[in-house]
Amino acid sequence: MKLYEFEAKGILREFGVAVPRSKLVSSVDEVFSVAKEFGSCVVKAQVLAGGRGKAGAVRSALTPEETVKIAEKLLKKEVLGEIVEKLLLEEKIDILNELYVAVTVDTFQRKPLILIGLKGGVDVEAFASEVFKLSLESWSENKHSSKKIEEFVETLFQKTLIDPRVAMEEFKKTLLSMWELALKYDCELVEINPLALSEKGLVALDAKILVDDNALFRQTKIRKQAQKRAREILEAEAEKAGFSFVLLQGDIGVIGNGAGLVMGTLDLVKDMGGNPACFVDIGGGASPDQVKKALEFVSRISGLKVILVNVFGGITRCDEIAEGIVEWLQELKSQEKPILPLVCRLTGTKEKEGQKILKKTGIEVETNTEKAVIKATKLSKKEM
Amino acid sequence: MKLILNNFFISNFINNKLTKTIKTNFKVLRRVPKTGIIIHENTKVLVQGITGRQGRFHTKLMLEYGTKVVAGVTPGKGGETVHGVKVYDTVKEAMMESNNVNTSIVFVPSPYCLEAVKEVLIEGIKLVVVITEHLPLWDALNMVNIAEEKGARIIGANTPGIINPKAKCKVGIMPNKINIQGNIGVVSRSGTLSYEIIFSLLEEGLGISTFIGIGGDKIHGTNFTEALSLFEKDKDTEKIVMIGEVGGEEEEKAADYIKENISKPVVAYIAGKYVPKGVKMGHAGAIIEGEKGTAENKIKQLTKAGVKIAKTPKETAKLLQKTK
Repeated sequence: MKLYEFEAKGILREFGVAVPRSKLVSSVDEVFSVAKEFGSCVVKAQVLAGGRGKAGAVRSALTPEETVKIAEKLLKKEVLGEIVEKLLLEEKIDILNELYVAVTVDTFQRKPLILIGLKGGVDVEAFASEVFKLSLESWSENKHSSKKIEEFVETLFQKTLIDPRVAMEEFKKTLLSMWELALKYDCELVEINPLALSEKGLVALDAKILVDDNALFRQTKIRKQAQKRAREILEAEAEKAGFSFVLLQGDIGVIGNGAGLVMGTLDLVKDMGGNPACFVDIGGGASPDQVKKALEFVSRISGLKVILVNVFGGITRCDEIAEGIVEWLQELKSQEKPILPLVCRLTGTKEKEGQKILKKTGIEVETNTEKAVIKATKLSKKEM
Repeated sequence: MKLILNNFFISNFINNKLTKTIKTNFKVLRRVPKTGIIIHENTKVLVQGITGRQGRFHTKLMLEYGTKVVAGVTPGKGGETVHGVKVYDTVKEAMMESNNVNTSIVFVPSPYCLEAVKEVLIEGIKLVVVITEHLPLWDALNMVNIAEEKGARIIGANTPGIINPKAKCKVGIMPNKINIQGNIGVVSRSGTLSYEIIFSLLEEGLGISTFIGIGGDKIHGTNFTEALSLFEKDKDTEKIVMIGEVGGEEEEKAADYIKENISKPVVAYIAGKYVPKGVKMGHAGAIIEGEKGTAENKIKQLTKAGVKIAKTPKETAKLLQKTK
């Protein structure tokens, strides 16, 4: 899992690595007062994709007014395929020189790897000859690794390879902090690029941290961030698609028309001993396409066991709901994707037509909410 | 009678030096396993995590295949038996009571896997097959480096294991149908894809010397290059099949190695030609980062090294039949 820049910098700060003074904002209203405090400011869109600078998503501003203008251009806009939900506003730093440092794993050699590059802020692979590598050879269970890292830095300084204006002890401390945090947070990569030399010493201008997905079971803090992130993404997409959505903790995906009916269904599910996974209201008069979208959307929730559709047609037509369901099923079949158990309850406008359409594809339609809920709950308890 | 006398005479006439070499060779032959790489007739297996669902099931299948499973370990379950195999609380106890154990297979869930592997390495076992999937990267690193320190070999993690039909020995979870012995050595990063390819070989009448799954994770206790070097030395292996996939640089390194060191014909299949960059396809190791690790690049490098590339899994058998 890749962390956002602001998350990575938060962890670096926690480990004593200097980062620029900054403020995370999610609306333009917050920008002016921060910019006024910082003076000249760097505005950085928080997206996970690489190449932000080239995409124009990292920009400097000299005045607070300019900062606001840039923020308006970036916030809620699409950058490299992602919607920018947050901006990191940073105080501008005067840079004397830029370096590259990283802690990672050489998977082929099966050793931890420390990288120190003499040029920061650029594509490191293009400057491979100016990158020094320390492979922790006889490494196991972290024996003597700090000492080896320190010796490596000392050698580079002795050979005067590193800018003499850099304080060796500070550089060592930065690397050791990165090493410690890589181990503590199960990181596949901890990268500071560039690590800037300023009048006040070393500052991490940009940071990239990749946490090992397989280790999330013991990285509680990161796991919570990941869950929160997944939820935000789903909710943002639901909003865009035009239905209201709330992610819950269970395994029965509940879809219905009208907030009241869906809420009532959720209560019933709980009362029957089941656990709803979400609240989805497709609204009144949903088209077959919207129904299909909602089903696709709900199927993405991890750990889902059953989908329960509960529709009482007023303005919503049962035949259109049924068509949407059939289209969704056919698409799954043609893509040879697994199909989750589906329980449908359809009554109201055009109910006969709707039931007929579903029966043709072999789906038994319920007409009673309670029966449907009991059926879904039973299915969710079945061993898969 | 005449024959015996004749033999007697002949043996008297053989010069001393020659007799000596024959004798020592004979000794060596008796000590060294007769067939295949890594596992053989004398492989005696300890199952770590034997009372779990997978451990239990695959102990049965390994026994049915002919593997000598001699002990099992699950902390807190000592005293039970699983398919006739005695279960102990610790590796130490298991080793004391059945001192001929020389191999371990690990079914322990990922949060506890590193500790289990450490335990067996400390007891001096030199071959550990780690079936466990979703092992954290730094645990895998720790595991292989401790093994290196102890002079032990790890296979995996996230591997289907290793199988040697001639020795009737399987330390793994692959289907028991892989039972036709032959002269093809197979090494793969994937489990099921290799079953697919191996069965198409078996259908064509081509048997297996040893099949080794190196695992789907980023770190491999035993990698392609090491497996290739073992196959090169193996008398039972005449041709090698290598099944790779996108991600990492092992296939590229293997290509360099093949160019310099492998005289036996190698046929390769590389999966994931259509995997987009940055997308992880199930296996932790199957992710293309930057320009490296694409199927295209791997195929190019392997072709340069003289490896024949199968375009489909099925084509592997045909290419093997063509190569001499």
